[in-house]
Amino acid sequence: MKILAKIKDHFTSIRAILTVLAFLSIASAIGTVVPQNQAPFFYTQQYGPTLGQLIISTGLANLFRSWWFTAAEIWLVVSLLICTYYRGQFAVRLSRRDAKRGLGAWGLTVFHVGLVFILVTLMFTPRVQKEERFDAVPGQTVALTAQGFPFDLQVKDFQIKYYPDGSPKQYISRCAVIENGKVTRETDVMVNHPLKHHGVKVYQMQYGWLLSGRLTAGENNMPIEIAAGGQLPLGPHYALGVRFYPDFTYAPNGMPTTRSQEPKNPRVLYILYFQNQPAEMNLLEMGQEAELPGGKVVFDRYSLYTGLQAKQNPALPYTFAGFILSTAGVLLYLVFNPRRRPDSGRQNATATGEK
Amino acid sequence: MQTIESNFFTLAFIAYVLSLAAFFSFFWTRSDRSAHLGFVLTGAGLLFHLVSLTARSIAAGRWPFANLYEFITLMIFAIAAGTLIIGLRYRMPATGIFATPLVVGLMAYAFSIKKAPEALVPALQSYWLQFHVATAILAYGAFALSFAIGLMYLVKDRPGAAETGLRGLIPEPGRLERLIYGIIAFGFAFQTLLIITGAVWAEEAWGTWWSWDPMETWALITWLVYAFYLHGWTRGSWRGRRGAWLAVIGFVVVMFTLIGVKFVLPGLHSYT
Ligand code: HEM
Repeated sequence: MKILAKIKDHFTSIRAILTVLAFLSIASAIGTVVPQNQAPFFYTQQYGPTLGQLIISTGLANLFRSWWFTAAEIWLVVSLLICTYYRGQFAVRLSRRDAKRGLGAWGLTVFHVGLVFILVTLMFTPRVQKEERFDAVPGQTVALTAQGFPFDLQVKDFQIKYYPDGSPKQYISRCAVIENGKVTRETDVMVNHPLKHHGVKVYQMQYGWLLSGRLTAGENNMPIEIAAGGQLPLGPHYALGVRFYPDFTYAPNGMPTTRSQEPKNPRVLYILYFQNQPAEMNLLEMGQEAELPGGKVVFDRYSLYTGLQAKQNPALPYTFAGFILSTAGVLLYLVFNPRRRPDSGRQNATATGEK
Repeated sequence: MQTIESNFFTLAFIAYVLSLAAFFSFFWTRSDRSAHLGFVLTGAGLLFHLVSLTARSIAAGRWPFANLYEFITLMIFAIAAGTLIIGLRYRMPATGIFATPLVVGLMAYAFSIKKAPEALVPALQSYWLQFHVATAILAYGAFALSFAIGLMYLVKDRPGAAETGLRGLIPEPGRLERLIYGIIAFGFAFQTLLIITGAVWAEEAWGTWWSWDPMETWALITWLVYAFYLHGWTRGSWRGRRGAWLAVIGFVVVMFTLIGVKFVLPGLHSYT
């Protein structure tokens, strides 16, 4: 009994609560300054071997998932649960005396309960959620079921819509949901409009250009596909990289650039790398051949691919329950503020009754 | 429309500068007429400002909610309106002395980053933008006012200092203290809604309701600072000067979230 009382006192002590709140603020601030989740190499290079090692071993490199940050969050959850119990009792008592201010006190209680949902799911989400990023050209089917998702996805089409001034207005992937080999649904996936199906959401994340062509060496003909910005290894020493300028022009500084993402004047810049050093580069029109050491290359087709992301987060409904509770609580509190008294004197009602 | 917007924005700026001048003259002369003039000029500034914002919305075909410039001018509007409401309702003309420099300073900053309205990038095309920004205006507007009144408190409540000069114009500390608390509680409620609407939106747009993006994290830090203030006030001993200092620090954190983060820390937010 004594121990229980001690535990209760600890978790409801205002000093402890304030300490944890301050701790979480300062830790979070540090987490925005120290780059997070980089390779260990990054820290030792950026901060020197000693400080770099220290940052890694103290968990600062992975701060928001470090054991001590998690411990502070758990402390807060326990405290919130205990406080909520007392807050609830307080709200009951206040409601008897003054129904309106009682509602305000209920608001605060509900608000704290909502925080519990949000905090707990904040800790669990990265551990229970499944996500998969993928690129696809129109026509391609992505076997999401192989990754444990309940359906496959076929990308039917991908389009970029533009404003009159040429800036992008929306990225639209037309997608078909395939279940047991049959298309059961077809819909557009856009930024801010994910596809929602059986607890899975599919998001429009990015896009890019895929260049197709041929490599020829004597009589041999090999079809190739390279994503703009990417590289294709050609044997042990060589690699072929490409850039794509759909609406080609020269920038004032003489470098190739593109006016827009609309393929009005497409050009490919190929770069031949020898042992990772650029050895040769040239601008090509579509269908124009270029001589490489030992062969020729030609690009004759370009297509847009879409970058999508599939996500399944079983904790999400609980997070949203927390959002709804907190919102409802805050609104109740705003309307029926339990501290707003007609006489507006100094208020000292505390939920835990100590003070 | 563009010229109407621009001209009225300049007019609003002038009116706010004049209201600052009037409040400073109230400080020197202690004449109620100056204070009165200050409030009238703030009101005029608000009217011009409203015309300018309306013209911009019509020209853009959307609410002026889409970039930092638009957000800052809305926040200024909220601060000026709050100054008027609190100054008149609680008969505290001294509020003007502390709040109008903030209004004018932010207005000057807004001028320096002013730009023509542009079309919404895909990430901003969401109903949640409206809720998110509206709650932000109320929260940050309230925090700005609590900052101004926190400063008033710090000037006023100095043990042993004589009740002369500026100090003589400021109401008694007990009233200020309760006012700061009330304003922060109001701001905190909307900061909560700001974070929640942001999280719901991020879930739709980025696929994660919380990703520890710097802007997001700093909004959380702001929220934690004010949670500290509220709990320290009701149940701890963080009242008086200590509480007033927290109100000041809280707003510094708000300004860092708004302006500092985007220069110092890269992130996902498309607000520029
Ligand atoms: C995540 C952090 C938290 C936030 C943002 C938060 C927010 C709030 C807010 C806004 C109020 C209303 C302030 C007032 O009326 O004075 C409040 C009151 C209260 N909170 Fe929290 N809270 C948090 C954590 C906690 C925790 C961990 C406890 C556990 C002990 C707690 C216990 C209370 C109590 C007892 C009250 C009522 C104060 C009173 O009636 O005197 N809160 N909280």
